[in-house]
Amino acid sequence: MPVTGLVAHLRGDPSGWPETIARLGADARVTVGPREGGRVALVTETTAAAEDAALFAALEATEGVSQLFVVFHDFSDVPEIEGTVPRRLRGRPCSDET
Amino acid sequence: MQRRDVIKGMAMAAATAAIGARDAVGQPPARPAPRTADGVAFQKAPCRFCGTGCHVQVGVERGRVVSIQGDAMAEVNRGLLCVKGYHVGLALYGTDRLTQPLLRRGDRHEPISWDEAIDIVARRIHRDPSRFGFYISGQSTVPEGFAASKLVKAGLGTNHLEANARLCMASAVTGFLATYGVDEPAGCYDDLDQCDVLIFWGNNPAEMHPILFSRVIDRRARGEQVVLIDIGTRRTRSTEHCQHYLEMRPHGDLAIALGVAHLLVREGTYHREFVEAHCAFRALQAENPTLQGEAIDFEEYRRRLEPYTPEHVEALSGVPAAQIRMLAELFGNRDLRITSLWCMGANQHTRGTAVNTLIHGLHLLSGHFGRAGDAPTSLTGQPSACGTVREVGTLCHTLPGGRVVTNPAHRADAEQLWNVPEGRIRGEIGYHTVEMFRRFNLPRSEGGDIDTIWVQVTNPGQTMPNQNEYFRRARALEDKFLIVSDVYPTETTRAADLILPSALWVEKNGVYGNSERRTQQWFKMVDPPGEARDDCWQTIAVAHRLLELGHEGMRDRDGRFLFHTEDAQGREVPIWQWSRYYDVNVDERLFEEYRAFTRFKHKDIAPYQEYVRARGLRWPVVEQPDGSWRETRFRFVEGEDPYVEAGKGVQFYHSTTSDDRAQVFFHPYEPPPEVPDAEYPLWLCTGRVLEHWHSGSMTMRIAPLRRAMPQAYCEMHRADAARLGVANGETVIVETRRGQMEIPIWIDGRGRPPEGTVFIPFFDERLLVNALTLHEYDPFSKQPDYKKCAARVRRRGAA
Ligand code: SF4
Repeated sequence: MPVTGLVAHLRGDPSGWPETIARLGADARVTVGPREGGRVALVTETTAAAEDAALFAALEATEGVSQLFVVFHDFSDVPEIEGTVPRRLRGRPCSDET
Repeated sequence: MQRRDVIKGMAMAAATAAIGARDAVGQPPARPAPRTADGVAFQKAPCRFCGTGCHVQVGVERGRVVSIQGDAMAEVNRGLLCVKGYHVGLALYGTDRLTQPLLRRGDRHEPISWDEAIDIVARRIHRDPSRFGFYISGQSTVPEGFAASKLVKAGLGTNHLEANARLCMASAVTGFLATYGVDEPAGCYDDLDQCDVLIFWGNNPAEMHPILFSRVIDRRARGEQVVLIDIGTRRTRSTEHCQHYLEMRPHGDLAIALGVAHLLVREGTYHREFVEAHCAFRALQAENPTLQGEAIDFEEYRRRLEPYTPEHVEALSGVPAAQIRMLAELFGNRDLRITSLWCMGANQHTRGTAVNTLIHGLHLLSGHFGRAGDAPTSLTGQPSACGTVREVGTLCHTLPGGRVVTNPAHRADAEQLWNVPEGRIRGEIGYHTVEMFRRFNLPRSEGGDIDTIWVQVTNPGQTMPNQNEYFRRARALEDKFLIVSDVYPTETTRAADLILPSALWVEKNGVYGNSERRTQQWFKMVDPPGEARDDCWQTIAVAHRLLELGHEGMRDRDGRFLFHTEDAQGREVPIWQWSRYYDVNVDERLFEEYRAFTRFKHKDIAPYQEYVRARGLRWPVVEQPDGSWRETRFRFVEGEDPYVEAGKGVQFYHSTTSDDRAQVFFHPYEPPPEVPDAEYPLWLCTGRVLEHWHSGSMTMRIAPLRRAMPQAYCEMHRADAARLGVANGETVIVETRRGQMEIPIWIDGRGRPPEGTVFIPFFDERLLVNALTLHEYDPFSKQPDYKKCAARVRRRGAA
């Protein structure tokens, strides 16, 4: 059950920031924290590493977000650490393996 | 309160601290005690991955790393981490960690004991040390590099020691040496907070150094004006943030720099006072050119620049003349502060030394040097390419602290400091990386006089250029023996005769040195798995076995073991025995020994314990009258650099001309060694991606990173794909004169190469692009060019 602390850098005109923050907080797995200038604190809580990574990608792609950084990552109870590099290759690049 | 609520509270506290950290970064506490939260003990360490050198707080619970936090006390990253740093803790826990020494028997690797393994390594070396090459890494720690250097240079009396940093930053070294007489950037990351203009010379920091990039993007978000300029051969994530994109042909960077210099001189917008006070001019000799070249005067410099008009530069580089003029106008404006950044694009270049010196030359000529924000700064890809390879001196021509083996005084000095007999250190330069592997891949009868290579902390089976010739041939040759110390199976371990399992990152003590001269220390926090052991111990254990075998080089002048170590009572500690290795802090002992080497080139480092307290310190670090230690942000600048004399303003005190002047070089434009033709009509460029670190041996084992970028691909322009009849995602054959591979095409992917260029990242061990790349290298730095060669693409089944 990964818990991740994030900092989102907001882009564009500050008047659009509240809307961007609302978009970020619309997902129930996201807790929005304080904002300082164009940076806002977030915490995400997911049930699996794959979900955590997918949520990260979705937040990063949110309209109005310029960059997303991780500041805290707890993986103490993540069971799905995959060890080896799979030998199987897919034809199409850069899609999810699963 | 539930444990989970505590963790969420910590996550929010970290995020909240990080959003305000811009102003809150201060001095770290004097006594850094491990912090504890809900049974998790936190300690500092630099990130294991790139040369940015972010600090993390590593959370350990019951002997296992369970959480990672950006270190808000660290000036480098101010609490932030990129997607790789965020997962750095998981790098330890791939399920296929190497846990016992393995010896090849036929086609299999079978377990053996450490005693057997150390004996085999020592005997291979002992039979003829001159045929042994030690190949280490920019990921080796400073003490590991120092121990390797001592073993090879002060012990074996050979110079066949190299590091993989030869493949990533050797041209930056030669550029600094030729220009300033001493290696490494004068500026630091603070320049990113002050510059008005930031120029990327073949650099993609949005993916490769994302935390540094964020410093600039963050300034913009706060309303500051920063002009970003990307000079490159393909659009990248960095390009998206830039106001100007100068798309050049390969080697166009040489022409662009010459064109800007031409305009500065022709229009008189160069900084006359700065040049007259601080610069001299040089060019290569017509015959037998040397790195230092020969002196020319300003008139001769002006004359040589004459052909490089904006229009001529446009013809050479493909960059419109108007953009050359725009760059020259910026450099000619001294109200602006300009920082140049570069990394592999300028370094992995058969004229890498030339383009490095030309970029330095632009900054010197225009006086954009010596103020915060005015700096020519190279970045490194590995966490200790600077600290271990450049500063300790783990290359075939170097000795610790900026000394070189060809200088008798430097050798004598090193022999004195190492307390080894006079004449122990050889004056002949050893084999550089490409040459070492070339000789390893040739039969003895054809000049293959390297028969044993020990690889530590790197993966040449994936990263050597022209793999088929420079790595894979050796497997079929008699009497070649490859020893590999690593943490996971790789393309290199698969080819190895002997595999030694290594400890990784916080499984051992360590010291790294990042891109801005910052030396960073950490302590061991968890045990390595199985029988994995520290690389430094492996080196010392082999040295001791050599001593037992009768190798006299393993004794110092007093007849003691080369790595003789005593406890506080003066009793020898047998650190070659694993059970006794941590009886003393071997890292601290080696670091203090190394420290004595660092004053010679004014790269002074502080005592080890200062680094225990700090989140790294930038050298030179000099003791103050009150006993404190002060780091240096900007070298060669009065008031910042303690070695600049009062009243000098700027002083290049290691000038190659011994007159405090830096050298502004003229190098002519020269085309690449291999260019597209009718048979191979495309340019092939290789590089990295955000999610994976270098050859991917760690990050491909981290599931979220692998999911985000599961395999390598070939970026191609839509027009080329249409001409070849290739669909997005279709697997094609990419070929060069050296090899071929099958790989899927990605059109309009993350990077956008122009028509006529394809790009393939090298992180995927299943898709080895370095079977295709060129082994040609820069004549001075010996760094190969991975960024350009001629290739063709065809559909599978097509002739
Ligand atoms: S930028 Fe580099 S050092 Fe910083 S967190 Fe990312 S990989 Fe680690």
